[in-house]
Amino acid sequence: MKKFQLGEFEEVVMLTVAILYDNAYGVSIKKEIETRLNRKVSVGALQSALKRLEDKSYLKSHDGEATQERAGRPKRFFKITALGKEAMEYTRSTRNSLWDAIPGISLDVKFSLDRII
Amino acid sequence: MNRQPPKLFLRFLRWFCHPDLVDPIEGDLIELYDERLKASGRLHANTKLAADILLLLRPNIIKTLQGTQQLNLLGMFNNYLKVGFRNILKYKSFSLINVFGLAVAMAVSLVIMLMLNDQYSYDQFHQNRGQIYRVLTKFKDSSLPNGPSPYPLASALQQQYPFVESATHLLRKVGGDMIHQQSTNRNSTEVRGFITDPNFFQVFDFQLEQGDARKALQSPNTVVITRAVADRLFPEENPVGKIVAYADRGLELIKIDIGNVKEDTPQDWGFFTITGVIDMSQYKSHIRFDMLIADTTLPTLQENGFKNNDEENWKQYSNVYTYVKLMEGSQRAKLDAALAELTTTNYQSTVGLETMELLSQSMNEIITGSFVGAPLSLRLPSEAYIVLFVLALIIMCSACLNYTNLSLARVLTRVREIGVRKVNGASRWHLVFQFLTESVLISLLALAMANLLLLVLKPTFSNLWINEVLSFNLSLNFTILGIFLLFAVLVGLIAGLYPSLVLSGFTPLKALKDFSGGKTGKNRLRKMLSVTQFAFSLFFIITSLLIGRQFDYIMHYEYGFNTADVWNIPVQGNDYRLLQQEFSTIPGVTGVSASEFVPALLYTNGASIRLPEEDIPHQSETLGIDHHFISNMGLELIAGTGFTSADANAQKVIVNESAARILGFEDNLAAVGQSIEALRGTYVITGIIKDFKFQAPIMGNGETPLVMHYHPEIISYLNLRTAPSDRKAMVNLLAEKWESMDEIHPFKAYAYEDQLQRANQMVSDLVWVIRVITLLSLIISCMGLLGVAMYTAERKTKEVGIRKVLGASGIQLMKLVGKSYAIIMLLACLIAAPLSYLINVQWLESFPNRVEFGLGTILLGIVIMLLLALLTIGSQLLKVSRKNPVDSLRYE
Repeated sequence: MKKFQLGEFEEVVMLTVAILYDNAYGVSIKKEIETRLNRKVSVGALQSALKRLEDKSYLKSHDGEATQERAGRPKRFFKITALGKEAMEYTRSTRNSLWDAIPGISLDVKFSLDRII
Repeated sequence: MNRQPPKLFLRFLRWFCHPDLVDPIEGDLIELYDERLKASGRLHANTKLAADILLLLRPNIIKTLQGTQQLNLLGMFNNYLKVGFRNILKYKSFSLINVFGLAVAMAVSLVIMLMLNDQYSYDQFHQNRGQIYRVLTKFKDSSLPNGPSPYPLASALQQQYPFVESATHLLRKVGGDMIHQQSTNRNSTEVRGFITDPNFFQVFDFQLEQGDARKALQSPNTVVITRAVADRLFPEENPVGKIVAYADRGLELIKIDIGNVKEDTPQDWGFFTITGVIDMSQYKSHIRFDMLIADTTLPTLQENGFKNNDEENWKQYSNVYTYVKLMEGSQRAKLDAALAELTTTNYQSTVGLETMELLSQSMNEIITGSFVGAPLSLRLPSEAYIVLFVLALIIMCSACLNYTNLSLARVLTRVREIGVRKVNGASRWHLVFQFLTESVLISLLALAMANLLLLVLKPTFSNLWINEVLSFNLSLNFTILGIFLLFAVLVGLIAGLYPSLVLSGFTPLKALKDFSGGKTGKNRLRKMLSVTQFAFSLFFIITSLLIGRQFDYIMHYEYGFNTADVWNIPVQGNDYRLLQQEFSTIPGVTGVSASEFVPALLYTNGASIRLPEEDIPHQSETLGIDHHFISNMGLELIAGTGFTSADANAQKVIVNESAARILGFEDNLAAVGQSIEALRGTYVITGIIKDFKFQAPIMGNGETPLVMHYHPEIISYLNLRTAPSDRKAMVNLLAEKWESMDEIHPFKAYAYEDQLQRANQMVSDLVWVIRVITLLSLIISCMGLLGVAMYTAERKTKEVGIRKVLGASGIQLMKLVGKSYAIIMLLACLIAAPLSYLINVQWLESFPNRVEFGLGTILLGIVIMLLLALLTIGSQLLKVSRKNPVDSLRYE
């Protein structure tokens, strides 16, 4: 059984939230992912992922001040929890251990191409 | 510039979005909207916003159904369900009684629904079925209309009335053998169908699989066959354009072959070209056929004397079915007016047919409407459904009464709960809703069980002989399952309505106070319900007993002639005299006679007779026989002489006593030698025969006038009397002999006794159905009684204990508890006994042969019911009175 459930998109969101640190709310996270990873993110997918992560207690949120430009709607800022950090580290370490376990030869593309040709 | 995003979009978001999330999400969306508006304009921003909002429709963003103010009811509903389930599990025996009773009743109702569903699925493939009508004929004084109508009707309607789009006629009694002579083993098959015209394909939406529907039936000697026939005659060949030989035997469309029907000698109609193939398995229609012959063939057939020329004959009204398709938008009233007009011109001044009427029958009424004479296919008439429906309704009511009764009886177990709910603010309607939820729950459980029962019932039902003829297709589909579900909910609501109204009516104070002294009016009502139930049961028992006796009587009916060891053999077009000669040489055969058809089965042949000087004819039946028939069948000649071999085709008849009486002869001897007008002219009476039962028991009691005549060409059966012998060995001997004389037709022989049994099969199936229903109704009411008895016994445990300690005997205790039930039974008897007598006498009288129905049957019914009731209640009484007082006093 897996210790921490963290999907690919969820991981991206967590990392982005960590990057943005103090300014991680819906629009900023969306833009950050779009510029850094060059992929489209819909508000729905993002909000749904944030909700999931919050339900898993990897993120916590607090509402900011209501501002004029958002027609009086507050921003909801997200922060990574201790559990969230653990989950990210776990994901990273498992991934690393997998990388480490690969014998060098299997990724030597040139070598395998030679064999085929 | 207006920088606001469209209000509608955001309102939609607020409507579906989870309230915890909505504000920040909306903020994000507005922020994004602003940016997009500046970057690339309003349209782009709007589309993006719409897409974003639609993509927000995700399970964890949409608000859940709980917790909001308006959805409080749902929470309560969950609670009701939970409490309902707990109650079902807590009182398992009561739940079982309720569920089982409802399930049994539902299963019966479901079968009937399936039957109805099947009936309503006929002839649905005709696009304009609302515009298609069949024309019926009816005599004003007869109770039933007849399916067939006169031949000229179709063309008259089409030519004279512009609102008739097309009309077609189907000439009936066309059926025989079709032979593909070029095939290596001379493939042949029996076919039945019609002679019809090309309009057939315009009126109906039958499509040809191969061939051209417009041209298929135009030229003489062309025929359209079905895929099934094509596969038999031309396996792996294209049948269109092939030529087949056809010999007609005048077969009827409806096959109930119990060896009773008069067969015509085969007539060679010559060769036919196949112009079309139709796949009948695609069409569920009341019109079934194997082939359609072009009516342009008729002139040739008329020349050869095979068919009469009825093209202008309005008097012959029983050979053709007429179907009419009206122009779009035409009213039925127009057709009715046209038919009335045609009736006036053709029948008003025709002697004997003055009271003839032409009636229209819409396509939708053919399968589901009431019975017509000479139908195209057999089915249950709508009247039968009414009877079945009423029976199902009674059982259903009985089961619902059980529920009501038990729920009321168990008031005590719920009273505290009601009180608490009310104190906490539940209104009366909340409680009604709660109890209805419970009853619907029970009823849905019952539906599940009923479906299991249905799995058992369906094959049993399909095996009934009736189903062989009516060919019900009781398959399930989603529509019907939906109807079942609705039905179950409805049943639940009906069963639960009264108890829920009563239970919810308690005031909290009364409900929370000790309620054990609840001797209120509800008890009386409960008793009334029990009385009703038992009255129904008693009615069913008595009816079932009576039907059983009547049926036994018919099955062991004395026919007045000797049917034992008689074989009836259809001659199948051979010369019967040759067969007779050959068969009589077989050892063990003691006599061979011949007849037109086999008497005492369902077939009869009517004719009118009169004295030469009389004007008004008398109704009579006829039977063609040979000179051996009377002695061979053991009939008793009481005056005059029988036929001799020289009397073949002579103008002589033998009549029965009833015929002599109706013709007005003083005594039997006086009738001998007199001439009468019958059949084909004037005949001399040579002999009088004692009345015998030549009709099936359900058709007549044999005291109908009968005229027997001797015309060899109409003979189609041999009656072989054998010495008592092994049946199989006998059939083998006969078959061997047959094969030496007729190579084409397979040998057929019917044991007379078996035939009689088969003819009464319809009755026996009916008895079976009624017995099953009786049994079910009995089971349901006994279970209801058991439930109430169990509850009463439980409540009286303490009282019984105390009485026992104080010295009451077992008998006294039984009296104490059983007294109220005795009154219920007595009342039920008082109501049901006279009622069952009055109602049963009604149907019994329609039987020409019937048993006596008197006090005996009714008393027997009462005894059976009392015994059953005693068994159910007695078991509970015994349990209570035997209990050790120490235990019963500790109870509670």
